[in-house]
Amino acid sequence: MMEYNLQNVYELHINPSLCVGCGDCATACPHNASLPPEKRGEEENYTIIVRNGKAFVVNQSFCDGCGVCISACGPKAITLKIAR
Amino acid sequence: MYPYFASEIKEDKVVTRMKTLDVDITLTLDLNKCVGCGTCTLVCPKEAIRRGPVGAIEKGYANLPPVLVDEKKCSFCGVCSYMCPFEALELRINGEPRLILVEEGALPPLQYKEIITAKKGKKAKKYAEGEVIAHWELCPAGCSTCAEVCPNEAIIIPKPEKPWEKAPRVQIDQDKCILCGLCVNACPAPGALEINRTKIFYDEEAEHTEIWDRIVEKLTTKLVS
Repeated sequence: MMEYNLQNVYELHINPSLCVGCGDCATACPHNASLPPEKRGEEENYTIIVRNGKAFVVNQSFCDGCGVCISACGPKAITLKIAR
Repeated sequence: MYPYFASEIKEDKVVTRMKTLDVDITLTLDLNKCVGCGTCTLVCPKEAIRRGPVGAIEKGYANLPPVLVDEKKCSFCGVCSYMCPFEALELRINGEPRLILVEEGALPPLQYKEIITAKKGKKAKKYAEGEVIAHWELCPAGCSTCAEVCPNEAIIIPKPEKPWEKAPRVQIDQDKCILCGLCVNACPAPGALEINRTKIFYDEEAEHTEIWDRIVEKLTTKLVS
């Protein structure tokens, strides 16, 4: 959201074999939590959602790298990696 | 093949290098000094510096550099090195630390206060005046990224005495704040924090060019997370 945030150099990576699909990351994500009610219907507005029992990163560019989902994840399935 | 560009991550340093037949320029980011405040990404004339996951790094969840320099875009001017409040970036030409823009009089001397930060005891330069405003009603519940990352412990999120009461959640100590902009850079909630640098202290009588005017203009624009 910052003007000088050109593009992300990092990406969220979810290890599907460790993910148990509890949805803690999607609940904890501050970007998901601060969505206005009119944007909540569509999946593209979310950073991270749980679909078919596994967590998915929907929109990488919304991620601010705050690390809340990593601390919320019980099985430690989420990591941040350099994208390039 | 010359010019030769490289960017490599060593143990606690990120070295960006440009090498031609007669000159070898390196821009070194010291990961022990850098906090990820984003001043360099803001002032870079080429927009060559991109930010990393600042919040996660400061909390210890990711082992990545807070900022990454794109060696293909970088012009090795040294503006980032000059403006960095934590002196984390160093430009070396043929092994010697040099800032050609300052030598040629394009950038005036900064007037700054040196501050030792409360967290980790890092040296910091405060050369701006202004304030950080928190719109805490936009904060998602449970997030305390700004308080956790602040290098000078200027942000406090107190627990309300009665949990049902709405106390002001984010409290900012404007005297302690060094206006680095790290909290705004790390804040994950859109619009919750804003930084408003009103004045940059520098020697106004010293000669400077329009490069400096552009830097001051960029620094003094209001930034919203």
